Amino acid sequence: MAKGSSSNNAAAVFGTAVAIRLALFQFPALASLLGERVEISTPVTSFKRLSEGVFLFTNGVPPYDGGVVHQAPLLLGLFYPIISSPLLVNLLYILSDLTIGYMLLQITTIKDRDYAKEKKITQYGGKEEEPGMSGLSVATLYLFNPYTIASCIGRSTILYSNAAVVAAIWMGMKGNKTLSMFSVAAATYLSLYPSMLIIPVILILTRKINENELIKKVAIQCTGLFAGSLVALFALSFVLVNSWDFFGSVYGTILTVSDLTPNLGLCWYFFIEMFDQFRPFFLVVFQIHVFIFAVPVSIKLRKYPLFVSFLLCAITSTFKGYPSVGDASLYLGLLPLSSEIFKYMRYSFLVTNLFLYSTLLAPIFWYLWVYVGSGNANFFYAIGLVYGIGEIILMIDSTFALLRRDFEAQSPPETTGQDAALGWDREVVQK
Amino acid sequence: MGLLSRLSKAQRQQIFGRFVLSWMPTLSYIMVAVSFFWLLALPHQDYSKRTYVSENALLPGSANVQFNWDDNLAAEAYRDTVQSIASLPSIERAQALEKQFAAIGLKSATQNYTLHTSTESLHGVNTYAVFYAPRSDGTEALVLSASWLSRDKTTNTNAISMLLALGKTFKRGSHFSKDIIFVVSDGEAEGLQAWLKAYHGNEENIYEHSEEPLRVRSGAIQAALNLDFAGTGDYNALGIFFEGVNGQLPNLDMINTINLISLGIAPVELTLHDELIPYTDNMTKNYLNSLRKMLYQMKYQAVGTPTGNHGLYLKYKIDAITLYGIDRPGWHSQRFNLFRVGVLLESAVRSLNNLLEHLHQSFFFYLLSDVRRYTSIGLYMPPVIILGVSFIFQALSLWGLSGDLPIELESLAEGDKDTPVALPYSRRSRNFKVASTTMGMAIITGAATFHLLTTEFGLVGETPMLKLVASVGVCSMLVLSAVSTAHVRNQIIQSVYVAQKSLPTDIDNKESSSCQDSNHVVTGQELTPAADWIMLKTLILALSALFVTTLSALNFSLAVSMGILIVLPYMAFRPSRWTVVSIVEALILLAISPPGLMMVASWWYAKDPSDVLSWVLREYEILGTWLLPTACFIYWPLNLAAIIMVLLPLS
Repeated sequence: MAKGSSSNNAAAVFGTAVAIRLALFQFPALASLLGERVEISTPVTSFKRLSEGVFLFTNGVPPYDGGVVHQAPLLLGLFYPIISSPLLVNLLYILSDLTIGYMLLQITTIKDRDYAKEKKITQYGGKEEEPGMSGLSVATLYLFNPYTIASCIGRSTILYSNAAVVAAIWMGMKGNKTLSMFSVAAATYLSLYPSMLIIPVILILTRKINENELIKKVAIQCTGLFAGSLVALFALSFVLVNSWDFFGSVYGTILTVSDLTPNLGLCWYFFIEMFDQFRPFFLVVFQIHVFIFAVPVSIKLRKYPLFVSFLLCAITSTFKGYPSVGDASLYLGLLPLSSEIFKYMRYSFLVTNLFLYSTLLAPIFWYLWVYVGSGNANFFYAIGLVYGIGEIILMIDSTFALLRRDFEAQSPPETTGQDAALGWDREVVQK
Repeated sequence: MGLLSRLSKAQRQQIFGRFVLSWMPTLSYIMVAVSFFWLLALPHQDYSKRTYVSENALLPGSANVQFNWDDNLAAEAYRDTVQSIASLPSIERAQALEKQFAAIGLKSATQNYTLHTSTESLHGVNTYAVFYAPRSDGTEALVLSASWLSRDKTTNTNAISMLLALGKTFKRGSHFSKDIIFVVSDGEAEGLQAWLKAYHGNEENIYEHSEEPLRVRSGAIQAALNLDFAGTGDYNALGIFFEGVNGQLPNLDMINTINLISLGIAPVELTLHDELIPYTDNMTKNYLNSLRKMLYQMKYQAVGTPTGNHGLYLKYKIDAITLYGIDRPGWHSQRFNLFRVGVLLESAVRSLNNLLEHLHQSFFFYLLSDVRRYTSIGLYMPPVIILGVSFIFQALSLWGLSGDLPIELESLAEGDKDTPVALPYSRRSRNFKVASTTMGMAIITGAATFHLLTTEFGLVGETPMLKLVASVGVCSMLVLSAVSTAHVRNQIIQSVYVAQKSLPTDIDNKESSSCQDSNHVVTGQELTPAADWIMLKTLILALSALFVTTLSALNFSLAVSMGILIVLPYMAFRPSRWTVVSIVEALILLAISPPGLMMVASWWYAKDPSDVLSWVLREYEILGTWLLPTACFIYWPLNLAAIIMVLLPLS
């Protein structure tokens, strides 16, 4: 009975998600408007550029020559047979979004099974900690996130990279080394930065292994599988487009931030303003900044690989050269996987507001800058900064909450008397 | 010792937190007061500065003008021609005017347009002519325009004859580096709108427009002057109108240029709008005059209506103002005729002709308290931000309240150390379901009313008023269903609660046996989430802050008027123990709802409510003002949610 109603609920959630997307796709003007918003599609994820690439490819022109196309060759190959039919393209987008939702649901189920074996935290009043969100809630939060919907309707190709990331985590949770490493490689192949996720995915794969030797062995195996998959994908791409030009055009553009179309990120304005002689130095600084957190975060939070994947995705989204709301939809989808930390978070009101304000003000300031001409680039960049602050506060707050819960699990609190009265500041006293 | 001091610090922090939280509501009311006083202080002389020309390329009034007495005679001759053709049908007078322009030697043409709105269809013919500048490659242009109908609903005779005379004058000169386009538009705003649309090419619009493409063209329009000189007589003063569609303003240098010219080469009295205010050195009177000017500007900005045809150019990133000839017999200043107007216009065009790039040096955001005094954005933005922050503070204090346990507050107040204080994970969870569903439904209802009001259903006897009544019906259905559901649900919960209490339960026994901890007694009831109205009010306040502050970047006046209207009711109102109070609150909220405000407006201007409504619809359909969408998508949903909030059950 309970099982039946939950599958009914799932059908309702996924059905509504499809219905909303199909309904919104009925307005081609909306799709093209969203597809042209700089917050939604960036030079490396724009559907317009992808179509251009497919067109060039179809007509036998090397797609990566003109400096317009920055998407991976296999993506061109994927869209090559269906680009002429908008319906099929839209369905592919909807299906990918739903798949992500489904995988998040599955991940939560496996996580809950893991957590059921762990010792529960005792709460105030002697109650046990309540379980986190159900898988369906996690999927709902992803599927009905306005950022996800906007990104899907705007047909940003970040969706496929996101799908690969979530698939990698799912396969990791299931313990499938080959497929999880292939998925990480696919995500890396599509947008480069997810290569960092190899660390949390290995952590997920080895989460139940206690022997160091065995962990090392698995890690080495995984790295091999990852490299192998990546090489295979590159080789396949070479076969498809018959040149290595795509390296410069796809990964070169990501790493050197050569297309300075404004976006929500922190890079474009810097590199527009900067003298050319400083450019290489700051490029290195900016790009190292994205990658540098991977190792320390993975070491400190190695017990919580799902949270590490969230954090790394959020860091990528904040500091990468071409962020969009599609990146936000990924990490906001991964965050509820650690929903047990929500009650320790302190700044949820602030973060929600920062996201709301930046979402509303970004198009307004863009309008003032580009259409009315009474504003300027500083207006739009300032909102990018506000958005960045929102992301950073979210990361800090959630990490604090996780560590706080970890502390709570290690040393169960007194629930009455002097110590209990300390509430929030307990750890200050105990140190 | 160290432990003790730290411990007391922790407690101190907690008490401080409570203190801040409990003072926040008061603080936010103080901030509202500050904001109101700040807004009232804006017209004061000390808050405005003298305007100055910022763009050096303009060099206003420094060129020698060619407009001479012969041109003046020509203008007067044209005046007779214009008068003779003014009463002809649109098409004929447009063609007659086209011939006049052609006779001067300008390339001229006419443009037909038909414009369908949901209630009517407007037809007319524009005439335009282009003077191709001898020194240009035709990439840039200036526009001089006039419409057949003046502000005072009479024929714009002098303005049109001035255009013809200036065309003749310019033809002689070799100074121009920008083409000059003369446009004489039909109708009120729709004629120029059709011309501008055709000039700038493809623009998609949901409403069916059909305008003839232009046969004669020039380059990108840099700036425009719109002339409004009604009648055939002389004038006492020159009024400047500058407020554009949706509160957009032209660069302040446009006004500054005319200002300097009117002080030098073509001495005329200059004022803002059509009001002439006698000079006074009485501080209070000066303040009131400034206040009146500012309110005039803010009123037009808030409703988004332009004060003249210049407002249409602003949508296309073209800086423009309207010059209006004020004829006020008996006014003390020296009267001037077309000669001085011609000199002034030629000098202004020569200045704009000097521009090397788009006007950008001076301000785009300003409030004018006088034609020579401005208040900059740095001074007028803070009050609206303060208003937004006061909303946020209220929301924050409610947010804090909804997470705390009631018992925690009490125990702190009594200094009772033995009573357990909530640890983070045992705070109340916040139940946002009712609040977010209500808000979502309110927004959907708002969107539905917008759809209702702007769609033509093709029913018999369909009028805007009828559609509004239907919209109000939809809204009241939402309020009724939300409120009744909440009350019924509340009663069920109450009765279940009572039933549980009265049962001498096994459950209680089981619980006490299963958890030995003595504290479980307090856990049960305190952990019920805060009442739904608290969550809904938090949401309303947070969204109000969001909309008021973000809207202020687009349209300061609209944001301020919205903020002033809603700040006190939304902050102060809450469900009351006495039903009467709740109902009075709901009625006040109803009065500031869009239909309520429409009624107030129709009473104030002594118009029929249906006229006000069709005016709003017309402005939206023809000019694309934001008043209607803002009202339907933002203002009305918040208002509906607030009405629901005050009618929700208290606990």
